Amino acid sequence: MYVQTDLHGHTLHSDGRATPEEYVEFRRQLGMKAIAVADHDLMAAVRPAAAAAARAGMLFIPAMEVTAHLHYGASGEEQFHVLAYYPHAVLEGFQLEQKFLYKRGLKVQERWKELVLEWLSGLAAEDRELLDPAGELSKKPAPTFPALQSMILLVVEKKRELFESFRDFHQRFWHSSGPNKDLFGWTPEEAIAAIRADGAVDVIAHPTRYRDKERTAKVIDEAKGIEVYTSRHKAEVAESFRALAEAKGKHWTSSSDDHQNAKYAMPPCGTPVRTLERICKQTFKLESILTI
Amino acid sequence: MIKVRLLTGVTAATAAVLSFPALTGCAGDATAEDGSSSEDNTASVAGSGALTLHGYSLTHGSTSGGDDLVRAGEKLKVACSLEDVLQLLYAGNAGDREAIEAARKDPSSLKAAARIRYTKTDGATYDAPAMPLAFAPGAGGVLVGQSQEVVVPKGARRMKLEISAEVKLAGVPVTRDLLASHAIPAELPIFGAYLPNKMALFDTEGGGRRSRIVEGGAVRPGARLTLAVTDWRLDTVVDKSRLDTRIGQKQNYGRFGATLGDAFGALEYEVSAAVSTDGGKTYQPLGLHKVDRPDVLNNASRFTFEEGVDVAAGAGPAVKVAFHVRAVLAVPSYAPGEIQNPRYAPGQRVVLADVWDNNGGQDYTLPIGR
Repeated sequence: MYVQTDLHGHTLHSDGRATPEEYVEFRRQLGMKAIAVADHDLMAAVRPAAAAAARAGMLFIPAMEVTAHLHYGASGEEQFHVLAYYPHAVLEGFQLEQKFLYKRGLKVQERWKELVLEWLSGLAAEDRELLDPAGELSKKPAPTFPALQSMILLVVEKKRELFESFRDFHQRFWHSSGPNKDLFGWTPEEAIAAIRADGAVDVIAHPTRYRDKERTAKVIDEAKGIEVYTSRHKAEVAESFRALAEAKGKHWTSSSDDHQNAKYAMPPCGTPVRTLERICKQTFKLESILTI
Repeated sequence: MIKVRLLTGVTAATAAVLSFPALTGCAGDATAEDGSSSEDNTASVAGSGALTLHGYSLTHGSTSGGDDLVRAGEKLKVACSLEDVLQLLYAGNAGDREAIEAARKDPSSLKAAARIRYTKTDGATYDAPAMPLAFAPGAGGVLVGQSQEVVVPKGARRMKLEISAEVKLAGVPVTRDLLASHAIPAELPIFGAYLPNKMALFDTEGGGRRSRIVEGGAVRPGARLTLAVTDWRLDTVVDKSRLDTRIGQKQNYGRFGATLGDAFGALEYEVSAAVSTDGGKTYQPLGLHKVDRPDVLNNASRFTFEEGVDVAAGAGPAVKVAFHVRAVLAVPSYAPGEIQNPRYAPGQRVVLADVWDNNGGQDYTLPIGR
């Protein structure tokens, strides 16, 4: 049995465009029953999205897309993303804010602010003045500092010619040539270990995306789950990953990886109830599955 | 049943807040600031709740199975974690590490308090006494500051929360309002302040439609009834997800570069109603106007359509209402070349849906009574 879901998408707290509330509302309109926001490496959208989902009558799963790497600092370096799904119950009280990955997300926000200010400081004075006329950006606390997509839109709006400069510069944020090895220098296995230590379920995001297929296969073997349906997978690719997940007894999910910058790709299938039960650490009764 | 349990995240979260051990003081009495007496049902629908600060987000949630609206008579607590208080208090001041560590070691050294400012129906404001936040370990050992319980008074239409804490700057103690200084929205409407006037709220619950009188009970004869339809309700009525709001294509910019993607116009609503106050014998037309950031939603990005109806003293037995909803695609004015492959002219308005929300032809019924 399946539940209509979208368990992977982004908001303006990372490289999406929607507010958490808009993100939830869009999925409510589509009849989604269980959703997650999985921003890159931070969970700033989780609380407001969870509140909106509660008002909309949807099951909300706290999540994050954790950035790790294959061949970090070596030839063939590429990002590898592992989704972390927390039980709904971590929203009770202040449990979420105590999670290791949540706190890591606060650091990510601080480092992002530092990186953007570094880029700004390298601009000509008139360009810097154009982007941040009153010098307000540096005064913003890191959690409210414009995230990646918001910065891109700001740059394009103020001076389109600076777009490529910012785009090229920002890649240092994750890359081994940049200042954040301690945050993003993880192997996928290390990311999986951190996710599990945090009490969450690890799911390999869009597994077809990675260039090193042999290494990806090993990580999939290690993981609890696979993201099967996503806008990055063609139908036949998704079906092959689903077959793989079922053959190996792994959990699998159905999502969009929506960034609000292209036509929304509705996941063609739901997520198995079994997967949701594993994430939420609870058993759903039949009548509840039929009515959520 | 899980339907409800699964879907009430806010309630579940705040229920957990109530389990925190460090309660100080006791519940105060409801105060009728304007001396009004009330025969309403508000008290019966006002249960208990919590105002909880999580990072940069303040949420209100019922802890008694209710909704997310605050009503006169509700028993409220304020809760926040020590880490959040420190984050807001010392944001950006890395030099305050010593003070932060000292507060972590001895939370009682941190002077923090919550205070509620009420706005009465005449616009006058008054402050309730400050409530110290007592920090104690909660679930998982998290240090949580919690206030005593307060009862939301009658006669107030809004409440604004302030959480303040003391910081020493060059040895001089300075008190900071943690919410206002970080522009964290902290003001909530209180329902029941205008009784016997009431609000009939037409919104959604899960995938379905829900209609209710927020203050509880029946529509009161001789009083004013506000009809309010929420944005999400309108989206559901017109089935917004099926409406094609593309106006052409435009250049999009993202982390992977510039791409040509769909450009969308804004969907706007036009809402009117047919209203009867004599149980459906006669109907009058009523235009509803858009209210951004309405009280009932308490959310900056949402809106309602609202209008008031004066219910005559002899009216009855029920108000009946049906809503007429038009969804209009508003094509923005755009510069030449900005939109490629345009589907509409700049400034054009295109009706995408024209439907009635009338309870399957039966109209919605709101009993009139005392």
